[in-house]
Amino acid sequence: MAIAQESGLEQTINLAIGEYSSDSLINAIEEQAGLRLSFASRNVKRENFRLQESNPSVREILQLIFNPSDFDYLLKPGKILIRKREPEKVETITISGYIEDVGSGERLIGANIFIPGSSIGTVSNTFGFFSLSVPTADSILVIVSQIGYKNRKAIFSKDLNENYNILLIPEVAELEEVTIVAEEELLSQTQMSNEKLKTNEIDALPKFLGEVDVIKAVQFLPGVQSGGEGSVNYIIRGGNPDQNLILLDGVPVYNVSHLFGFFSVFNIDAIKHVELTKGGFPAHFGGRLSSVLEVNMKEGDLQKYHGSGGIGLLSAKLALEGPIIKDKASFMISGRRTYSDLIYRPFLGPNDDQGYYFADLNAKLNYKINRKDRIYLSFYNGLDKAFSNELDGSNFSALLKWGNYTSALRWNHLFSKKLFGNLTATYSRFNFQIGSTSDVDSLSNTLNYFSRITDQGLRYDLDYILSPKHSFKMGAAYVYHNFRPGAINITESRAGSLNIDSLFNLTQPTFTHDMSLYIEDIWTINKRLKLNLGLHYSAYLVNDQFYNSLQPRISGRYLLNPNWALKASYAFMQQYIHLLTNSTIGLPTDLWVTSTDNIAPQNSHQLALGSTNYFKEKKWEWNNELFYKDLSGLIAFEPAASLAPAANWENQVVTGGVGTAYGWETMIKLNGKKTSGWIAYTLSKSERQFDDLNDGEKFPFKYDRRHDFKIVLNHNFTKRFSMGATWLFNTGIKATIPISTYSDLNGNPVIRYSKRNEFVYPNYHRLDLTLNWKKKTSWGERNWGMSVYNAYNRQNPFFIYFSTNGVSRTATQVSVFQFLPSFHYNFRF
Amino acid sequence: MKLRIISILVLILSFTSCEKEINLDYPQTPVNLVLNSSLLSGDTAKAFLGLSIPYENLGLPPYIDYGTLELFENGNLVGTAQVCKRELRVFETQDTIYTYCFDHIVNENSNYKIVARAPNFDRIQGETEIAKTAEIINPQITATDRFSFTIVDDPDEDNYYFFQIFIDDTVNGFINLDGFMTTQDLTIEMLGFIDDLLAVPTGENTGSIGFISDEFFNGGTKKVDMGTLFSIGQSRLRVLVTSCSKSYFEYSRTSILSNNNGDSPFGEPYQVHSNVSNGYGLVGSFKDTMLILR
Repeated sequence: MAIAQESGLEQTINLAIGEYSSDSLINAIEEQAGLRLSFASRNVKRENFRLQESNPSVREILQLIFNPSDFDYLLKPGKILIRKREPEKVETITISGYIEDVGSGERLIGANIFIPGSSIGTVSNTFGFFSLSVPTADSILVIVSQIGYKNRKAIFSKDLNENYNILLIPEVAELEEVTIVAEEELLSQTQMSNEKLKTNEIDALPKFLGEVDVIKAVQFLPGVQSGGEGSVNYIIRGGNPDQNLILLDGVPVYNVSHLFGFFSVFNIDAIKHVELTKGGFPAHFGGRLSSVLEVNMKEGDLQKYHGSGGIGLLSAKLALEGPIIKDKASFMISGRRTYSDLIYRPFLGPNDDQGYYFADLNAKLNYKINRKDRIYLSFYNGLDKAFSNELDGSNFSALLKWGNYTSALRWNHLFSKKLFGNLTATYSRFNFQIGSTSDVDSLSNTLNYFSRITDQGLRYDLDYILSPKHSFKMGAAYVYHNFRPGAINITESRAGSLNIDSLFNLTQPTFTHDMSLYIEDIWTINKRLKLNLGLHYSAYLVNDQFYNSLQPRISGRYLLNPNWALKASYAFMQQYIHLLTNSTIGLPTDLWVTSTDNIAPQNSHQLALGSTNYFKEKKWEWNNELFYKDLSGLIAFEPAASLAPAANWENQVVTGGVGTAYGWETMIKLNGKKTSGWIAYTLSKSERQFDDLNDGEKFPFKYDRRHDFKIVLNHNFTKRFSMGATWLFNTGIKATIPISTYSDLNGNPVIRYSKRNEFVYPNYHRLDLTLNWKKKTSWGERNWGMSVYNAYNRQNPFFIYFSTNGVSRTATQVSVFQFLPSFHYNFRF
Repeated sequence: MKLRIISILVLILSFTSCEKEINLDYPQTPVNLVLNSSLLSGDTAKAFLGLSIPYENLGLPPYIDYGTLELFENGNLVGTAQVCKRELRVFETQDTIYTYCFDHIVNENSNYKIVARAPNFDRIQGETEIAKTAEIINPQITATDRFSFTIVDDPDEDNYYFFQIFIDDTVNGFINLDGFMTTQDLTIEMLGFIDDLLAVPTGENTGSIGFISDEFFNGGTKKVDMGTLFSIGQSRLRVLVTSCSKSYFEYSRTSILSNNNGDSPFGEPYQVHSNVSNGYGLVGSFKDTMLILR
């Protein structure tokens, strides 16, 4: 505060203790002190002020009306000028760098970088990069935190021109307290409806047939439901399964199922980071309505070679990583294969050759070109194959196979400390094929049905730090889709006769162009309030039909105190592709099809409100969220629509559907010294309405499970011995069931069904347990254990069918996977 | 194909699965009156009245002879029906089909409503327009595996059609192929073939029926240009085109779809179309036209 002549301001004014309006106080000064006050009327608070003492000075009165930290009082002859103070220009510098694992040099995603005592903080991006604009100081203290790592303090000198890599040391969970840095976490993020899962958290969960699965771990989070017993299909906040975008190193994976959905394609040994976003989507996400699951592969250790592997009841796996050029280039390669076909092959007859297996191969190369440029090349190929070859006279063979191929080439470039860019070129393909051949009496014929979706994409993303208050993300993306939902190849030949070789495209290949632009402003208004304001523009060209939309996104966080933040978000999303399926179990025959002239895109608006609290020295975390999702443009496939879509598949869908989903999610999470885990509960409701279904009446969504309760616990008894348990309970799914029979025009019996999804399956609950023994050896570490799936042998419904017993029809519930023990052995070196 | 995939899955699951009979908490399933009538222009109106039975019950849903049926033409009562025919539904059982006859000739330019009553049941009713003979021009075989014909639309009427193909192979004698039609025309809904796709090489009977809804005419003509999955050669080819009321169209379509859907435990069941309020069944109309292409 600048005060020119205090004597004038120190004059006392005769006023008694009490409440006065601003006008009466100003009049009192002007009349008694003989000074005219000059000010902008908009700066006067129009309210009553209480004088705590009688006869205050002019200055004391002015301080009541005009906040001294915001105004200068300049005493001039006969008057006082009251001027709003110009904000001081603060010089800033930018500090930037990468967050890395100290041992492997692996860059860490989602680490919190925070300037203590300020409102300044950020989160490392997908490539471990961060940049902060901070007020100039000789040295700047930065705290970095990441769950699973020790907190790290780093001091940046203002003269430091280069990027600075901050190395984090992993916590040893069973020995040391895991420190959760609540304030930093709360301060640095505006994102809500978002969950990160560490790979060791996933690995500690009970295994199914000896296999740990990323998506089954995700299903234990609040607001996430399984698509069925043992299935990796999942439902987020009442959305359809096809509304979930699954990205492996930024590349969409169209079918994540192995073994008809009982396992996912993600091999935990190759995975570094798993993050699920259920709502409050930042503007850089687009293309799906309900969720984004980001799975990032390991980059490969830049320092030393090591590996891991294991065998379970179902499969064996091995992963290797290490430097190609130390501290410059590295590789990671990981493979997994089931071996049930190899085990029972000796028991087959001499003329039989049949089996089933699935296999995955993940690989990644990482090359530091220089301090500013880095390239990643990642690759995934997965395959499921069932085959049967009869080597007797029939020479009949049948084949069913499907698989994904994805690859991504990513080039990071640091333009400056404030500007980080990443170019990504992607390729994704999903193939499905079923066929048979036979060769009998010189007549041979083959039939093959195949379908495919292929994406080729290019995107550029920029992170730009403008000032301490504003940082921007912006980018553009283009994807060229090639949909080939179905084709049949039939050949027939007979010796000395006419041969047939015909290819029938049940649906012509469709090529579409999918473009998007986005910009986000992460705006730190003050220490309490931070917003992420974004716009996502998407455009889609299919044949001559052009769809586009401008999608606003906003999310905000208000910090009530260092341990308690309130969050809110709104997101509009649009989706141009649809999954053609009429089953609930995620068959490989489910086909992705595009929006067309007749089939419009799907849309959603989602609003969410939430809070995050930390308790007990931040060991406990309590999250609450309310959400409301409004869906439109939904399509439903007519129940009897064929799995192999004909050219007229568009005739087999019902369009114009709307839906709502709303609910409350709560999760209490414990990050303790020996015990960790969470309890999650979701109360929700989800409905659909189509003019052409259910007589136009609203009906419950198939997965409208009112109650969904989960417990996940892991306890380390000793350094070597740990135990994990999960329990889940949810209300049964909804179904349409036959209720009566009548005769039709031709006298044939017709089944009349209930209202759509009127029947509720029995409730589902299940306890899984796991025990793990870990031992360090001279060559590394070995870990063996056993798991029990469905420990108390609950007969949960997988499906219900109706049969006759000679007297009446009865409903029969089929349950699978009861009390299923398994063993696993893993090693690291 | 769907069934084969599911069969493989069920086989895999059979190693770890078990079954138990459960008591379903069924929604209320009252017995309803069932009214069925297909009205043909120039013919007397006939109808059938029956009852639905709870799904748990085995046996065929019964027909009844104690109902009262009224026929309304353009809103005016034109007659009541009497049981005019009794026939055993299944040999050596007492299960009888009762046919109710009205003493009224159906006029193709009128709309009809049938109201049915029976003791202890609410009144049920269904309405329909009358199908007219399809106006078809230029039926022709255009290649060894192609044929076409053109349907002329009446812009003042709702016109719904479905068609089937029959081939008479002079070399091998009559073979009932029923279908094997292909088209890239999105306005024609082909049903009944694709689900049985894998059966093609094994020679199983698979038929396809093409459905064309009124919305694809827009008052003009509709050229139906079809391919076949076999060479027509010198075979005689016939196409049966059925013009029908909207309700009969939906009934036929949904009957096929319901049948195709089978008993997949994972799929959504298909409700066969009914236009009878307060009950079940269908009041509709159709008219067949056979095209002899060669």
